[in-house]
Amino acid sequence: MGRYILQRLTYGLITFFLIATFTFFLMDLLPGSPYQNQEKLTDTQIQLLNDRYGLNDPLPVRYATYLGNLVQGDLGVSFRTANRPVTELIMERIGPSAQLGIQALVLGTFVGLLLGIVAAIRHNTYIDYGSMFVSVIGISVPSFVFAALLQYYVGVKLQWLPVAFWDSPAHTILPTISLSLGVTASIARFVRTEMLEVTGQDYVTLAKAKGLTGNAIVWKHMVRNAMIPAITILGPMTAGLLTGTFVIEKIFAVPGLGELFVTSITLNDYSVIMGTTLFFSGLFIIIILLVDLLYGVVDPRIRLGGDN
Amino acid sequence: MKKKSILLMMTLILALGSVLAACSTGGDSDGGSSSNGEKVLRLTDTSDITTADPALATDAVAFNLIANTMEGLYRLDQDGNAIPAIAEGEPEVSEDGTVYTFTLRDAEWSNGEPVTANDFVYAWQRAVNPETGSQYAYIMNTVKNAEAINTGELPKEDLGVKAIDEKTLEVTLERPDPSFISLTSFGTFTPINEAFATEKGADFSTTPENHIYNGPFTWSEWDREQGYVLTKNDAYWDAENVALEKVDVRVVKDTSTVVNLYEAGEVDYAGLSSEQVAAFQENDDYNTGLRSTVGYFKFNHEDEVFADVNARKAVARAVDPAGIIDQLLNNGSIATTSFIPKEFIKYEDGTDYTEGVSHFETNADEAASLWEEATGGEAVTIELLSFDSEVAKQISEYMEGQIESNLPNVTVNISQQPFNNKLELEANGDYQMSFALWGPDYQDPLTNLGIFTSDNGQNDINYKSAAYDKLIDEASAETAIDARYDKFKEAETLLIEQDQAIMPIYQAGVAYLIRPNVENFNRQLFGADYQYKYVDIN
Repeated sequence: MGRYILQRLTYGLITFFLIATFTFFLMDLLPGSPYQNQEKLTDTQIQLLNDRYGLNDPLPVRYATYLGNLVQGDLGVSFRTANRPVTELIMERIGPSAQLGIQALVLGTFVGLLLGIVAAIRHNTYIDYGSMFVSVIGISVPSFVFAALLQYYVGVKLQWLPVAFWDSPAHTILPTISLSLGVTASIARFVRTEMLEVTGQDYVTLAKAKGLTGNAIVWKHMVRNAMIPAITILGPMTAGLLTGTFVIEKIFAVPGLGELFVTSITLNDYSVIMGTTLFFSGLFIIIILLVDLLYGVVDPRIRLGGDN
Repeated sequence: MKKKSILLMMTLILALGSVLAACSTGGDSDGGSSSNGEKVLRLTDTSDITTADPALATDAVAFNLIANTMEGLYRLDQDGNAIPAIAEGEPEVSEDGTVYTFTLRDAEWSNGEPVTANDFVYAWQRAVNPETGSQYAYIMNTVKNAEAINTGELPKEDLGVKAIDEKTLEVTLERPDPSFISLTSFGTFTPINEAFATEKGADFSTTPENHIYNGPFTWSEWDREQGYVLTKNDAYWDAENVALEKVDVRVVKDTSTVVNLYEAGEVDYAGLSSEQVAAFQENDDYNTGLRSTVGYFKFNHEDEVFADVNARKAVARAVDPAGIIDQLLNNGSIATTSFIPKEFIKYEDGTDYTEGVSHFETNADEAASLWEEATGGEAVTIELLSFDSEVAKQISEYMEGQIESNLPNVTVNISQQPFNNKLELEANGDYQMSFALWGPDYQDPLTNLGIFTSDNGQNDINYKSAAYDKLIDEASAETAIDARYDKFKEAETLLIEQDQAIMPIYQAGVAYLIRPNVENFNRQLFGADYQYKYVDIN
């Protein structure tokens, strides 16, 4: 197990390094400069500013400098926000994104599991059709449509909840619900399919033969097995949710990471593009490793590393 | 078992419902920010503060913050006229119009230190110093040696600004410049207290605590990425004429969210996008204003089609701007054929520069025959360069329709590019015609017309006219206001009416909702967008 983790971490580091390299060189192909008012600047002025920010150095030199700084944990400073460190910008915004992501994940998984299990138990009844209808809608309607509807009806018309901002727990409810619907829908569908599949398995028949009650069979034997595919999709979903979703953050004025990432690209804010990309990749690599480890816990048949 | 699971679901739904109900905010829908006696203006902006450093500011948020917390030699009044601020009365101007001597009034920084002439010298030298890396350093080019210092040819001490004594500031210009006075109201020209800035070093102006102010408000709170608060500055020399106690600005990027917040009574102002206008047009809170940005089409004069003046004239006459103004933008924007915005430059007697200016008119027949003349009746395909904004996309599509239906034998292909890519294509002369926006930097026609002289770095239409260069030179050297503007008009007539080097089409407007009890909240055409100094709430 320890060896397996070490091996995966090494691969992770290599992946991380490759991402850093590719992003750095791809970024160089972006047209334009990182200066806000570049239409107003003459070539001489742009050259002067490039000198000031070291952008006139040859690409390999810049790349070496960047890697050198990266190893020391220095992600550079942002062009757009007048020389503020990128690490500071990311740290400031990770809180709201992570909170929103975790809340949506917990709510979505809980409701999704419930819908999926109930639908499978009540297979081919109205409850089944109802919950599948909900999940089809949840998957096919983009979250920002829900967000806009919730904001208008619950926020503006009914005035039950705040329209936007990130000030109190109440402010987090609408964005959480909007973001969780997609999770709910995916989980519900996976769990339902998997539950139906295990219903016919020998061990379920055995459990019935042993005289276990319906509830015990469902919770002890069926749900645990039905969880495995759900964990597969939860991995990437978690990483995606934690790092912020641009649209939901934008609609509810949540000061999160998603927006930082998108605007840095449109504004050519080089150091922020690199910083956020690397942050996201690092998070992805770690979460995918965690998910793989979790498989072993949920399903003892899966042996990690193949050595024991 | 059946009942149990149904029960479970119902319990869950009920629980969720009660959570929703319990969290009800009960916001008041009529707004009324002054209801508790304190006058607070609640606004939103699309971006957080990027910087508060006058030398490093580049965007609207930063310039707005600076205009409301700092004060330069002059400030714009509610009609956009420059009036003395830290300068006490009008300056003495030397006979040749290049040396200005300002006497400063008794004013204080928010830490009690006096505002002195040296604060200006320090701030201006700092802005042009290449070490600072200011992207707006060029705005100071009118001050003697500014450009040479910025390119590293001269030391910063050679800048044409001197502190004669604590209250006397002497500024030397490169050449006479009647727009210099209003330019001193611009953010980059505001003073900085040297002792304070040096003490703070790299932290200067990075947070409200690391900054001091000499303007109507102080930047008092900052919740990063969420918003900031400006509080009335009691140390401001004209504090008695500032009505607002606080301005609370929240960061909201989505325009429909802003409108929802407005409807829920949580903010006092909401900008509207063109699609939102129809829903609110009849509303009492609905208003429109003008901006100084001009939307225009560039013709590449090195392109084989548009090298011919008749081809350029044909396109300009083939398009009816009404469709853009009334249908696409519908937000107070106005049609124009001048490259100088309306309500921006005024003659001595107050007449608007653009009054009576009409360089060309829509005329489909004339357009068609000019096009025949230019192309000899051959089929031509034009590529129209545009960029990735909704407005640019719609306007380009409208142009395509107008040109194809009003000109014979022509096909228009729109090339919609990311904005940065479009700028690069233009700079390389790799386009035929292109949609662009231009906003002026100072209150003089030179800021707009100057970019089309033969050797100007921003002349990416490749227009080369010795006659035009000469007229611009003469106009820039003219110090008598009326004669100066007349000369510029002459140059503009050559540029647009005779040579049709560009095709101006509209001046941008802005549509918004504002609480009826908010007074004097007017968008400025020059410098920062708003001045909270004049705003009152009843």
